[in-house]
Amino acid sequence: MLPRVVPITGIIPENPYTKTFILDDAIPQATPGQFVMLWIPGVDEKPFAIVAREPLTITVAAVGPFSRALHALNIGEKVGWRGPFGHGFDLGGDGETLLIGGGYGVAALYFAASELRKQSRDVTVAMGGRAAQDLLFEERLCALGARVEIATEDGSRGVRGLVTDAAQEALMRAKRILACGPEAMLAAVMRLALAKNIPAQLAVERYMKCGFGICGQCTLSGKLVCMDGPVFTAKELSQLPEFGRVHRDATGAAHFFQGRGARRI
Amino acid sequence: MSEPDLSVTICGVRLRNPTVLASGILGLSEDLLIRVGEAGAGAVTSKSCGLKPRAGYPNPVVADWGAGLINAVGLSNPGVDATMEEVRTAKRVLKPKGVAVIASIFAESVWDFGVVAQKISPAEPDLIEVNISCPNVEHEFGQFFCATPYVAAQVTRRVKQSTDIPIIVKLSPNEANIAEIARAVVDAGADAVSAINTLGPGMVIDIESRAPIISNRIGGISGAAIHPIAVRCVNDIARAVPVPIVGIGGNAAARDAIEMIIAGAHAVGIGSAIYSRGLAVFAETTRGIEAYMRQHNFARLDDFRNSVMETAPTAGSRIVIPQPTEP
Ligand SMILES: Cc1cc2nc3c(=O)[nH]c(=O)nc-3n(C[C@H](O)[C@H](O)[C@H](O)COP(=O)(O)OP(=O)(O)OC[C@H]3O[C@@H](n4cnc5c(N)ncnc54)[C@H](O)[C@@H]3O)c2cc1C
Ligand SMILES: Cc1cc2nc3c(=O)[nH]c(=O)nc-3n(C[C@H](O)[C@H](O)[C@H](O)COP(=O)(O)O)c2cc1C
Repeated sequence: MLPRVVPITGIIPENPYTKTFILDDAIPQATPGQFVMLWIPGVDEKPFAIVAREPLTITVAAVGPFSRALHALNIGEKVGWRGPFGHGFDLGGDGETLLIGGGYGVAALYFAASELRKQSRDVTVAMGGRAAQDLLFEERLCALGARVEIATEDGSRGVRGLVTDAAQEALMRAKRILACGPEAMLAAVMRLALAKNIPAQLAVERYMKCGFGICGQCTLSGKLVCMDGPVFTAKELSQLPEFGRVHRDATGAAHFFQGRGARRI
Repeated sequence: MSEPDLSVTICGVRLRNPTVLASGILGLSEDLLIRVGEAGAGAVTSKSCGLKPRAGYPNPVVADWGAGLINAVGLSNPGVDATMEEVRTAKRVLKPKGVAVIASIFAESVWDFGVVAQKISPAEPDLIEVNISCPNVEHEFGQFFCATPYVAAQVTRRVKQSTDIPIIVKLSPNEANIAEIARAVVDAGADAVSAINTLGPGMVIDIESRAPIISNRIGGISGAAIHPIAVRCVNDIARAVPVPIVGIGGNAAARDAIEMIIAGAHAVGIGSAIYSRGLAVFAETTRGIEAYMRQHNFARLDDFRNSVMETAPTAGSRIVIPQPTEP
């Protein structure tokens, strides 16, 4: 599969550092949780979660050289994509689904929420950020008919605290959890889900090169995040010693996650 | 008839079956090497490591262009010190399962090949594969080392002096005379050779943006498209030198592997096919070879190795070009 190079047809600013890009193409076979490799010819190619199928939509936080180059593009300029890659969320089953998202992870969950709401299923989205300005997709999720619970670390919106605090009430009702966000958040959600015995699926990130199971770059204790993931169950992740602890850089060298929320050895 | 024996011994190292994970595919962590070993490979090769960590080229570094893959990863690797730990752990876990571990190395100079070989040796890989044939870093490393028999022999000699572990020298299909290079490295002490590394380099262009798809502009070609070239290279080498050969290039099924063995290979490397066939390719290939052996009453791989029928053209088969006749 070679990249398809198509124009950008829409750009939506989501927060001070995040934009949604709508491409002049569709990816009808994609399921929520899957990703594309997005290519700016002459710059680089990086993985991004699919936010909508038709038209193909992605949401990107500007965090480094590639994402800043993407933010500098205008409507009409062209980017390449290939995909969909990986395994997405399994949306089957009855009862309420709780989506827990942090940062741009909420965008990937928006795809899952829109699929669930198409089937009139009950959806609660718990989202978190440092401050009110970090939140994304709140109105669009409400417009779908999803319940939205918010936590901010500075208390400028919703409850003061972490996204897991915002999820407390919904956890009593939820029959399953889908989560996407920073790894420390995912590790907390995994512990919560295992403790409360709620089936959970979490979308994990690792540094990716090929995106389709050849190079081994995105290994997570021997699982390939690009092929076996990026969505794994909480049970699977609890068996993978590297989850929450170790990630790899572009050389393949392993590093420990630093700071709050890192799993202890 | 008794069970066919699919095992093969290369430089004193026994492989339970002839399938080998080729270097640079998945071999980035001990966990992945172990996973491939458990999926059925007879041996696994770690990704080529050098003296220092290298991030490699920006993406895209690999693309599927329809009939094969093109890649220029840029020899990204965490450095020999990290790879040593990876190889050590993989060996500890895979040894009891009967899976051999091969450590692949590259370097920027003849001297450094020796340093890297020396540094990886305490991890006790069963074999060391010396990658003198990466086409993506010409001028800087690979191509230079296998471009002439003289330099290829120098690297071989240097590595042999630096380790007691048997070495496999990995050759490139991109030289005019692969048999000559094989002869040079074997004369210099190579215990085995593997062939082929990727073909090319080649180039794939996006016609919308007119940008090369691979960030390095050019990349090595692998997969089904290169299998006939790999078979020819293996046969050229088998005719030239008596050492074991690991036949690599486009192997995706038992038929491909059997062809390689008939051409002269002791073992068969599998890389790109993991993309299309998944890890089951190792067990499926082994099963298919076994079925072929039963069908043909072969007890051991030796019974059909290096057994290409000689088909010298005879006078009768020469094409006669019709001469134009006067009107
Ligand atoms: C499956 C998956 C889905 C993702 N979905 C989204 C999304 O929907 N929106 C979004 O904004 N970001 C997403 N990301 C993260 C995104 O790929 C990185 O933010 C982006 O690659 C950063 O590149 P950069 O050059 O801008 O920054 P850099 O300065 O190069 O890196 C910043 C951060 O991004 C990570 N990163 C860099 N390169 C890669 C790479 N090749 N593969 C994975 N991570 C990398 C680095 O580890 C670092 O943590 C996803 C990542 C994965 C693996
Ligand atoms: C993505 C990729 C990375 C590779 N990296 C290496 C490497 O680091 N060292 C090496 O000796 N060969 C490397 N190769 C070459 C393979 O080991 C193999 O020789 C070649 O791909 C032909 O076999 P195949 O058609 O089965 O893939 C790489 C090949 C691919 C596709």
